[in-house]
Amino acid sequence: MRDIAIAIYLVLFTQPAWAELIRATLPNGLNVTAEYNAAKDGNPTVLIVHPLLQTRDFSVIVNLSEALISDGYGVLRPTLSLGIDSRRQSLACEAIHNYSMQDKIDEIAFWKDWLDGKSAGPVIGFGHSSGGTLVAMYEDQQQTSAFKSLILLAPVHYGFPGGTGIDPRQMEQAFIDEKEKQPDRLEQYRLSYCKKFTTPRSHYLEFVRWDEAAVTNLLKGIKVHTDVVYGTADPTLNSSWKLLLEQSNIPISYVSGGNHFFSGFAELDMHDVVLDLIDDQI
Amino acid sequence: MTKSSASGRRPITIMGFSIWAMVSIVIVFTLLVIISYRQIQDAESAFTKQRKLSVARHLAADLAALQEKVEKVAQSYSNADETRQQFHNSQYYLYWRDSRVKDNPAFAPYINRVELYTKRGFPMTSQLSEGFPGQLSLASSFLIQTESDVLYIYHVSRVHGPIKETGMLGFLVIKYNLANLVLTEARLSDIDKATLGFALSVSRINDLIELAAYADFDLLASSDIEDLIGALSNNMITIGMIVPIISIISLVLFTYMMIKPIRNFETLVHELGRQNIEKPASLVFRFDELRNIWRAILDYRELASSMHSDLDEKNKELWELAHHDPLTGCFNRRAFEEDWQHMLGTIEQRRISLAFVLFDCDRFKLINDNYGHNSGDQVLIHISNTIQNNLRAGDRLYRLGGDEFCTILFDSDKAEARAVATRCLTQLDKTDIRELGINEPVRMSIGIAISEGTNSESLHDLQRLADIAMYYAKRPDNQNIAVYDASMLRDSLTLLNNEVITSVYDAISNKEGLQIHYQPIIDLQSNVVHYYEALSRLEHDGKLLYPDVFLPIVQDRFIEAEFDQLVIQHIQRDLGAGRLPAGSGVSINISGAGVTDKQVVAQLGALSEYLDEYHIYIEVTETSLITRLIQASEYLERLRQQGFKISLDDFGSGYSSLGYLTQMPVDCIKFDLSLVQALHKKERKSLVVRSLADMCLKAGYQIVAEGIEDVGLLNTVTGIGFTHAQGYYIGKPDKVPRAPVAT
Repeated sequence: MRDIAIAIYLVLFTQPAWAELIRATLPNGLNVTAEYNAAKDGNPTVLIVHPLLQTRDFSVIVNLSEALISDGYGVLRPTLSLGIDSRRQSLACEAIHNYSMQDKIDEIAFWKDWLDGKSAGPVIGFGHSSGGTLVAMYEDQQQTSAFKSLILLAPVHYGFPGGTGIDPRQMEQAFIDEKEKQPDRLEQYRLSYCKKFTTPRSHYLEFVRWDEAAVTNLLKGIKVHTDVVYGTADPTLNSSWKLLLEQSNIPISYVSGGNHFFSGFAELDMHDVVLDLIDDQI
Repeated sequence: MTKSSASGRRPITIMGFSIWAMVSIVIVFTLLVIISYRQIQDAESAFTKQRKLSVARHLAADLAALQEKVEKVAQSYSNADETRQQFHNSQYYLYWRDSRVKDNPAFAPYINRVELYTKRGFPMTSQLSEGFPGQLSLASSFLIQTESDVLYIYHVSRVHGPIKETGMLGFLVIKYNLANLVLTEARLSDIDKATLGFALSVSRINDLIELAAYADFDLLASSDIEDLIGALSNNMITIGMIVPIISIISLVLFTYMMIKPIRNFETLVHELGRQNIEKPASLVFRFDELRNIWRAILDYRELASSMHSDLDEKNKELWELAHHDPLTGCFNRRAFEEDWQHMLGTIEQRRISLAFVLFDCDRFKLINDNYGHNSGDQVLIHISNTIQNNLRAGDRLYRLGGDEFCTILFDSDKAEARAVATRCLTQLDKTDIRELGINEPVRMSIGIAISEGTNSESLHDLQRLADIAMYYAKRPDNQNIAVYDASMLRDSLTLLNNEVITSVYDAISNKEGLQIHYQPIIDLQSNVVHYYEALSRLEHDGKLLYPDVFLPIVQDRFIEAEFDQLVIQHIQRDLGAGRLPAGSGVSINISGAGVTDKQVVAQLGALSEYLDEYHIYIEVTETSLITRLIQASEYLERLRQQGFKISLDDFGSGYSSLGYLTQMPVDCIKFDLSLVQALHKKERKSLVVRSLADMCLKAGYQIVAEGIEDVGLLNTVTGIGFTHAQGYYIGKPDKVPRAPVAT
């Protein structure tokens, strides 16, 4: 019932977003695509990065984009290749994730540069889930601020959730040992919500390094204004992770009842929050 | 009567017909069931064939759909990012091939393996899965080959990039377990999937539909039509089993309900003819029709019984009519013949003593002629009753014809037979025949033949022998009863001698052979020949036949009148020729038949022209005169008036009595030889004869003594007063009238 109401809302109160399909070839030769809607009236453009295994067509991203477009903001929604030429489909956890963290950051940089090339004006970095973490990483790697601000929607870390009793450092060391032996060996790991995330050992270590503390520190180090939005029902926001974020004085906006994907009315609330945050940045 | 029964064909029984009908029904039903069953089988076969064709078409359609499915699977894999990922980076190809392939939404259990090939057709890995070609041949979309008795199909499809500009990335080859693929994805309507197979080992095809030509399968047993056919077949088999059972049960029931009662009924009907049955207690009529038939039979029996009684009476009457003489009431000739034959058959080869007694009424014809047939009939009735009353109990009297009767006396000897015959004659004599309007005695002659037979052959002759005896009995010198003995045989032979018969008929018809011999009769007062008695002789082959030989035949053939005329003619010629001495005379013997015959009387009257010159006597026997007394008296009286003399011949040998004598128109009485000869034998009888002669003389008669063979007798009769005498002593008969030898 609630889903039907949302759909009615989206149809009645959002305008169709006639996006431009952007095809591009990365320096590594992979073809990538994105949808681009130019901003209106000098409004900033939002570069939206989807969660790790999704595409730009992920519904949360699409719906938010349309909301932004509707409000006159420019939106660029790329699909990260994840090592796949012209990727159009989301990837399963068990699929071959033969890409590094940096490969993804480089793709974000590619599209930021593409926006810059379009003289799209100020760009607000937006990422959902792991996309938010990636946007933060990209911004962190820039010597000068790449974005006007960042809005991170339920950003995640790749470390073990708190309370597991396992010392990630020790595990890392063990991985390092293995890596030295067969770094390209494809393995299946528990990563974030994936139980069998399939990736070479070397890549896994890049992911797993970004645990709660690492991400917290990352966010703390971002030079541009960064807003974090969480649903109050997001399971990834466990108590330790939440405590770390709050202790880091990172502004966090909560969407009441929202889960990690802001299902139901929480998605509308999430839109309001995001739009409010962007409005606040202008 | 039907044609079959008429031709003698034996009718069939109801039981036989029932069995035949039941067997026929069973055979017909069985044949129908077999035919129906075969037709059903044929229909099933045709249906199966048609269905197989239909299923084959469906299979082709299934294979077409399967091809679409396979192509969709290939498309799914080709469109998968993970698949195209391998063409750009095949570092982890084996993981993708062995693991990630199964995560594709299009993956299904019948997909055995998936391999990717480069645009040049080379495999992406050197660790190629089993069965995959080392290099693709791009000529066909499908490769089919058998591996470890399992048929696999390799589908080759092209993998293109996500955008047109990317072009073809390489080839996707998916290995399917063909059987699993077909069984899983194809509908296979009406196909027994367990039997589905494809009769090919290695092949390259462009289209899965081509597999239809190699498909081999059995149809599913169950379908509505097959169920229907199966039900029909089962029904046919059931009917085929039930019909004989029902037939047998029906036959048993029919036997119990119908045939058994009908057989009981049949037995009852048979018994009905032997006893009086209304309905036995044991017979239960289960059917109204049988009861009605039974009632109809009873009615019919009653009617038949009535008809039978009538018929019995009619038969009895008919038998009576057929075996009894309607006039006298005694048995007739038919009865005699049957009894005789029966007796012959019964006593054959056995010794038996019996007597055959033949009765014959003397001169019955004269009675009939003189007194009429009614009187004659009354006489016959009287004779029949009298004889029957005097036979032994159980003896049968037969009327053989006319006035002839007979009887068979079983266990009887000569004496008993004669006693019976005598008893009959005595009773007849005692009867006053005048009550019947007959004024003259009725005499019977009885011939008896005795058989103390040894065999039936002797019995065959009895009738003939009795007949012979009968003629003996009729002779004047007999007592009307004669028992056959061997001595009669000669005469009987004579009687039956054809030469004699021929002579008699030659004399009458041809006027040949008759001779008249004249014996003189003298006047005892003058001792001169007063007249000659004309005696008949028949000459045959130089021999003379005497009256005792041929007269019986004349009498038997009833030609006495004719013979009398012949004699008269002969005498007339002799008179005319003057062969008789002048002044003499002639006496002519006229038979009993002749004396009442108009022609004879007329012919005698014609001799009256000689009366002036000759004495003419007409001699008649007293028997012939008495039996025809009235008419004979009339004629003789007429002759007397003309001048003829009437002489009564053989007086004393027959019925002669003084009473009759006075009524007879007689002039002369010739005493019989027995009377004349009695004058010399017994005094008493001689006295009677003398008195009789005296009385006749006093009455005015001439009396003639016959048989005078010596002088003593001649003197005796002369002394008594006889007016005339005749005999060998006086003169023998001769063709030429001669004077006496000694007078």
